[in-house]
Amino acid sequence: MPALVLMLMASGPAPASSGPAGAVRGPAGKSVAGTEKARAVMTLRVRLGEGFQNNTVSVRVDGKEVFSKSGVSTDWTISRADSVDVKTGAASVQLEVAIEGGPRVTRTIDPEQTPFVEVRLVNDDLQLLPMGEEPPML
Amino acid sequence: MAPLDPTGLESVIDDIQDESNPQQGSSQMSYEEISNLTNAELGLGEHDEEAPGVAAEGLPHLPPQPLPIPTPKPPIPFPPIPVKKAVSGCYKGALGNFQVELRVDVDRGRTMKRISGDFYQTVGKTTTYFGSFTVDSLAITTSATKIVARGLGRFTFSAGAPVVQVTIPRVSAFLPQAPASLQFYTVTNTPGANYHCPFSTTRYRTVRIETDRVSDVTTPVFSSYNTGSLPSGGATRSISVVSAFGEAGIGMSPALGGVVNIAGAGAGAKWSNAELHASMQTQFSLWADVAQWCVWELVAQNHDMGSGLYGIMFDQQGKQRQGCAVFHAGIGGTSAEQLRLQLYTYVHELGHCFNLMHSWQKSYASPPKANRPDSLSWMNYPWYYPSGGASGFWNSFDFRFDDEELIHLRHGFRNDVIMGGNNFTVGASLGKEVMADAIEDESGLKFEISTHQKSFALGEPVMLQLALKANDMRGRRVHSWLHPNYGLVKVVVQKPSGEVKAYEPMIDHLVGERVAVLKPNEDIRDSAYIGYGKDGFYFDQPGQYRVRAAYAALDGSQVLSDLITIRVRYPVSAEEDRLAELFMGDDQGALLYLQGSDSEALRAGNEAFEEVLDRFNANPLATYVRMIKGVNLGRTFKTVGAGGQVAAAEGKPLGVREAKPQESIALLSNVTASTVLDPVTRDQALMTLSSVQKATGDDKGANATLSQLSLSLSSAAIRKP
Repeated sequence: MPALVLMLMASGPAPASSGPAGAVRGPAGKSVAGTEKARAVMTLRVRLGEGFQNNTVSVRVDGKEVFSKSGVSTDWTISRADSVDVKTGAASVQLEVAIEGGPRVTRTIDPEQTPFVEVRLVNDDLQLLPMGEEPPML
Repeated sequence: MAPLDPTGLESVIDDIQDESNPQQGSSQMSYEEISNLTNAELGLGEHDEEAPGVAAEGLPHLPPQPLPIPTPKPPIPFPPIPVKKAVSGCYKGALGNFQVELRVDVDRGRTMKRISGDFYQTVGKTTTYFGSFTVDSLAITTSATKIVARGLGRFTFSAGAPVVQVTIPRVSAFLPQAPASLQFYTVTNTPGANYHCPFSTTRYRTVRIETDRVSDVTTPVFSSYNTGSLPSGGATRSISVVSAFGEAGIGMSPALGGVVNIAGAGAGAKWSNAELHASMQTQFSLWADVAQWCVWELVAQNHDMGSGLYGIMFDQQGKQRQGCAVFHAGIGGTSAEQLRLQLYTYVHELGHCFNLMHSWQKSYASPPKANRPDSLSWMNYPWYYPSGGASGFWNSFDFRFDDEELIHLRHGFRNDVIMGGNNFTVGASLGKEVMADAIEDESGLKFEISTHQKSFALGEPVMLQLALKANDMRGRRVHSWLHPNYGLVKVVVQKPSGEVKAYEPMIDHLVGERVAVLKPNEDIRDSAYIGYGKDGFYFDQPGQYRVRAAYAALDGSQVLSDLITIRVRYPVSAEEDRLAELFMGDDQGALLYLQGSDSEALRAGNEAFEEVLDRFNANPLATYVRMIKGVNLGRTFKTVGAGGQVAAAEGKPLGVREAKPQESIALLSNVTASTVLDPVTRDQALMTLSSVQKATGDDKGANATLSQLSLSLSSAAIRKP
């Protein structure tokens, strides 16, 4: 299944979008101006880092699959296998990463505080490491 | 010990100026020179016994006195002898066909207390890498006159005398380094080979480095950084990429770099790994598809992955680790922090080219090593440093590789380190190579192999075309036995699994002399079916294969061909699947190798091929069946009867199937009219067809057939069935 590929952003948290109060419309299309601030849309980057060797990996945010790919392997020169950017306005999200036929891990993430999550597969154990900013690769 | 000499000398040279002896001056003299001085020259004020009556220089003249009774003179207090020169470094020796590059690491700054070496073998005019050894645990004995280091070696080959002993005389600082004696012993202490190894260099290994800059890089290419600019561990000094590796004992010899002009790509161009690799092959002036001590570093602006990627060792295909890139979008600038980051990134990426993995990921190497996440090394990530992150790292970092990495750089087996050697992360020479590249080839010959198509169906006979040419303007004496049957050409196949097998023909042929002088505008060609041999089928699964061949020249040189890739396709239809089955039985393999046979023992194979002709007559693979049937029917076939006796009846032995020329002609005419075969095999089929036509008295037809030959083949090169 092809990955849900989004454009990679520059490193670091995306700046919170700012809009005029009341810019958000409710489901009915009615403005909710005056009652809520516009929720900032954040970019949460999930980077598959070290330890992947031809794995089939899926990533879900709040139950919705945002990434699924087979043949995921780490490039050891930069400790990176792949990554996916997810736009969300939620204060917190449930991030789940799973290896087909292998481990699965779920963690609550605050995209505003930790817009970057490194995923490592170490000794058959999936680790999710939320960070305030994306560390460089080299 | 005095601080390291900034000129690069690491020997300690004590200042032995003796202020009480002004005549001695500040120059150092050898023991021999000093002992030959007279007392007067030494300024000691005594009579010179060899010239009695002669006043010592500078002293008042005394009236003649009776000579005193001779008494032993007190020893002349000569000045302290200069400290001996360190012996560590690289030595090179030879014995018979072997050359050795010996690395002794026992007494120079930051010694790893190891010995290692790489062997090369010269046969004829070709030199190839043979293997390496290293001694991890040394017993070192140091005396005033020599250093002896001894220990049990680890080898990439089976060594009969695995105990290694190196003896190096110690010389004073101003004398040339003495040669090393490299002596091998068996485990029972029987002496083995002894190499006399003159000194070569203080560097354990030497690499040529070319640094190119992309035209859109807006900040200066890194030159040097003063480690005292910001808090750090270790001594303050100015470090460049070259000196960083120099401190590790690796000589980096800069080659002239240039500018990669990408003006046509427009502003904001970014690099993909594929583009980096392609650029390396065209821009890196030292690039070659061989293992060699040469590396390319490209200074670029930005990568597809964005400014968060500071650098990458992108060369992970073919002969890997020959190039890396750094990206100034993330590291460029002139501040101290930026210069420090540039130095770190440039050296870090080159470290990957030497096959070093990140400090916390050593366990992913093959074979695995212990992770060292707290290593203060070029190969760690400062931001991952467990004791304080980036600031903790930089405050303690002495801009160096850690000890294990030094051992790898200096003493790793050659193919684990050399650019273009083993793949990244493969640290041990556990697998066999598909014939190592020659280090040197002065044979004057070029040997080429090829296939007429890039891919083959599963089961399709793999025909290898072989061609020998002379690149010596004077021509070369050569033998023309190119087919592997004759044992003078070796073919090696690497399967998709990585397994390497030498192709072994079913039948060895002992041949006599067939020598010619090959001129530069000539070549000798042959084709060989290499699909089946003593080990069965060599291309028995879909996937990518690598093939190489070596021609044994008359002077013993092993002339290597290039490495070629052959792909075997997966069957995609029921027909292809069935054809693969029909072609891939042992009987069928033997029939293809023998170009047909009436043998009852191969009946199953013949029946399979009959089915090919019956059911799949239009399929290209049927051409091969028609060819071997046509060749076989064009000749008589003798079958020895029961008991091994051939009984004569009417003058003819039993079990002789006469040639069937008309059937042969029909089959071979069909074959040679097709476009399935490679040119050399087709020409061989034409030669056979012509012979059969001639045997029937059809000279006209035979000549017409010969006129269709596509190549000017020497008659000596055509292998007749």
